[in-house]
Amino acid sequence: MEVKLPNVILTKLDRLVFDRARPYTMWPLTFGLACCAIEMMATGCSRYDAFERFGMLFRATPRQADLMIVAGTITKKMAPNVRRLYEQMPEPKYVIAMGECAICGGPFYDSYSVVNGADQIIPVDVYVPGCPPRPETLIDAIVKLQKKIREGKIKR
Amino acid sequence: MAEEKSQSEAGEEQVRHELIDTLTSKFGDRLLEARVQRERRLQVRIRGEDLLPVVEFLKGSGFDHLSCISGVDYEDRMEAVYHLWSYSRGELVQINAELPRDKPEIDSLVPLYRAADWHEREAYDMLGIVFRGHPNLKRMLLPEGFEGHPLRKDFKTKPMSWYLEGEAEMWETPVEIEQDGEGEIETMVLNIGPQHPSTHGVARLVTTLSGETVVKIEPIIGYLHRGVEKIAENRTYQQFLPLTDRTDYISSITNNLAYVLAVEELMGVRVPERAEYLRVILSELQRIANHLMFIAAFGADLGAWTVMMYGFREREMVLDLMEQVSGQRLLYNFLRIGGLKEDVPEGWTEAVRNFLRVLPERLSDYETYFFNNEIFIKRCEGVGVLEPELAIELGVTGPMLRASGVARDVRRDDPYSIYDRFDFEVVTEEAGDTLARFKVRFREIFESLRIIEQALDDLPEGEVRSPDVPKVIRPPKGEVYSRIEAPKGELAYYIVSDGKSTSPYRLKIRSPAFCNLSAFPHYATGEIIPDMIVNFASVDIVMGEIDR
Amino acid sequence: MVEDLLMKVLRGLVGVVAVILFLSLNVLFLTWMERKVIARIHVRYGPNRAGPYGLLQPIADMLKLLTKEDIVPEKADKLVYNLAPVVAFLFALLPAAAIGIGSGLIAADVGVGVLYITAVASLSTLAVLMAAWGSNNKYSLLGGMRTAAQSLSYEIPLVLSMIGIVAIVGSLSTQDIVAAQSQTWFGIIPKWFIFYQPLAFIVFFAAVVAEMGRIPFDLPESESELVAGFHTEYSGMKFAMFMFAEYIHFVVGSALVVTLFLGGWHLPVISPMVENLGMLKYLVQVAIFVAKMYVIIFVLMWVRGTLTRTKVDHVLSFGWKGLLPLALANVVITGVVLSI
Repeated sequence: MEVKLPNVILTKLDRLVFDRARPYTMWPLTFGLACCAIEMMATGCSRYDAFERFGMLFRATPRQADLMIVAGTITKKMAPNVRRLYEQMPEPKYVIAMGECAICGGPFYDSYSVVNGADQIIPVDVYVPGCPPRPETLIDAIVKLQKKIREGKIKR
Repeated sequence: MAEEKSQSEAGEEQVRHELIDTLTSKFGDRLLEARVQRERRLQVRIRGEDLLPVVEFLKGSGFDHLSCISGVDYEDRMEAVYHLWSYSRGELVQINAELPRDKPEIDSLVPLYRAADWHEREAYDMLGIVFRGHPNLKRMLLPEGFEGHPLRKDFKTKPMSWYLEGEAEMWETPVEIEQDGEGEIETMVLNIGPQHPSTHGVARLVTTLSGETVVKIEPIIGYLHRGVEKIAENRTYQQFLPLTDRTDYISSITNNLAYVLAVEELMGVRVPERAEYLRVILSELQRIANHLMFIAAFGADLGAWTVMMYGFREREMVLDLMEQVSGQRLLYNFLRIGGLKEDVPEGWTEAVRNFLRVLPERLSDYETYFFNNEIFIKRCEGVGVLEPELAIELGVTGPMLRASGVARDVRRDDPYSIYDRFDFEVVTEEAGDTLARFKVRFREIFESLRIIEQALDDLPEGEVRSPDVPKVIRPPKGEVYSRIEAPKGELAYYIVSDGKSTSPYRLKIRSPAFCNLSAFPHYATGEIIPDMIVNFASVDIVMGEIDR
Repeated sequence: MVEDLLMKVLRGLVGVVAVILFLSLNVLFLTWMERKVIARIHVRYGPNRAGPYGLLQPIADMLKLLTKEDIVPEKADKLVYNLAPVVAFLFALLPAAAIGIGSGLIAADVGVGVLYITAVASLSTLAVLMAAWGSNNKYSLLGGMRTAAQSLSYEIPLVLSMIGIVAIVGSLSTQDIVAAQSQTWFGIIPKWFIFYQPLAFIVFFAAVVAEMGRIPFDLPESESELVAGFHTEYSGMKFAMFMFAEYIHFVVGSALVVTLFLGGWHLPVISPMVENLGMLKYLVQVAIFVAKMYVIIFVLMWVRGTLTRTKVDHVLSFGWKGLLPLALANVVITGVVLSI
């Protein structure tokens, strides 16, 4: 019983303090693959400003990022790089699969060089449908991810 | 004369053409076929071994722009297809060089046109045509270990493929980098990309540095190669339309336009007047959106995030107009073979007019920001100078070519749709540097505004969709090469129809950014990293279009 | 004797804690303010979800970075890599000790104040070089080399531009320099050194921005070229320490501008009014100082939202060919005027 106590405290602390803070500072990686990346950029710009408002700050290096928005088609040539970028990010890390291509290959499902979905190579937390998803949809995904983190539903 | 007569007897009514006459008299029966496809389009069919003399002759008679090299697999034979455009004559000649399918080998055109370099590598990668004498014939879009050539007809794709762990190694494409050299000058190899803030997508630049000076750049592309050209062979003509949006996703209407123009030419369909006007308005709006996006991305690469935000803010105005007609923000899929999806909503033309009024006011802010900003001018002036002769030789088109002082614009030289009815200036700058490339795009926005205004004034009433287009599109046998002036340069769709099937037999996209990017290493070496970044940004690339 | 020593130690400790507290609070506020100000320039809102007006944003960032996984690259030079952020953080704190935010409100009134500040501040280059080398990353290395070149070329004009002031005051202590600016003309126009030494102010301001590594001189970590420069490989708490150090530079640099050129905690009309109010006097002084500091900070943020990044060769030639001659000319002019 005594041995377990610190862990319990740590878990409580993690849940009560850090999981309250984390949803507000998910720094995404500056990382766009295809069409959806343009909508991702539009989401971050003046009209929607959905990243800064939620405390998200684009980081160019995976070492400082918490969130990977897979925005676009993952080709087989790019897949090892996507995987490596994911592995370079420090825990805790989250993934949003944005757009049909990142969900299942989208309109390129039968191509010889397309990976049918980001979840074949990295674990995905939230899927955003659309081709490309509108910024509002991406905002919805961010809010959903925040909720997931707050409720401790992200298993690591 | 005799040949000409026999040809005219052979089939369609033959138009006489002095170039074809000289060709036939010079090459005689080495020419399998020589004819005029339509106005400004010639076609020559030869055997593979006769390629060099014919092309040499054509180059001597003014065909200075190698537009595209592709190939078609006809199952009983292969064909390497060359498209040469002459800026002086205003004509395009298509050369079909027949090759045996079991041993498709042909001479490389690199000694004649430096633009051939990347095109031939791509044709080798996709079709397995071997170009003799090519300096660097490696796979380009696919990794070295890839088995087969996807655009051959016997290459079968699987409907769904799981990504296998073992595959990763083959796809990873390590580059043999000569290790950080010793030699006279010590160099360092810096691998920029595929994920890097300023590669605009997933391009990869393997740069060799000496200190901060760039000694050598090797662009590696194919990280967004989605096999669109192969997919086209498995889709009907209508089904492929949405995929054209997704090649150049920043200016999707112009991609739609190039594709539908090609199919319409194959089918011989005439488009209603109103649709033609609306197409022009939409594609010029798209050009504005593209250039605003360019300005925004350029600003971001210079560390000016404010410009990025402003560019996107203004771009949203265009997107709003597009959304009103198509319901989409980015990939509109609004053009149809034979017209448009539907007429524009009520009040839309007023909204466009309002936009025409507002945008110049907003753009004056940009002028202050950029042209009164000494840091900006200093960073761009004299950086990455591209000489006009080199630009033409490298197959550079669009704003990049015009920034080198060459006033070439497909809209004026080879008018398509109804562009010959509008009065606009072909914007040029003399300097050929990054600043000139920026200025050309900036000034083109105003020209587009002028075109839109004229089109709105003349916009007729009526149908927007031709009634002659059947539900099942099965164009007659033939080939077509339709070029348009996309925001980034000359965009062309080469479509081969076999007359039987409802999907293209072969579809090749000649993307402007592909050729413009191939020129990038030529003018960006010898400068330092920050210059290289602005040089790269000034190409205005979209990886979806380069890799397809 | 022992009591005397104890008092000294105690006073020193209080000073250290006060400096760290002052800087930390400012840094936390600054990160929020910077995001808000830049957002407003961008026609955006900026953070507004974490707490009222997003004010808890820095706290959330801190908590997150505190618990991030700490990655040490396999091929890094472990000792140097791990030491670099600590060194950066410490050397960033040191100069603040010699800057007073009120008369007597100073951690250590060193006789050679200004000299000490520049000497210690230039040491932070060392930390950057350590990080650049230790990471074993080419982007980091390039960033580190740029930092070294940049701080070398701007250190000299920075020091030279202060010589004029030192010559006028006849002391290196920051307290004395501020005291020398307490007078006014006609009771309204302050006798600040910005009016005596306008040339020096321009040189100093440019040089200090370059030393801070902010736009337009943010080459060491220019995002579009070098990903994140010297801290490309750093994650979690170590990255936070670099960020902290950077913002401390920001605060210290602005405080130095205020101290040297803008009259420190003096403000005409108000300062004489509170002269005899005891403890309240200090409060007002601190308020004036901080307010002035934030004006400078705001200007720097404004610059960031307006200008583009310069090129590395332009930066160096601007330092050597532009600022250095100006600074030298200023020294000569001041010398001539003083001797007359």
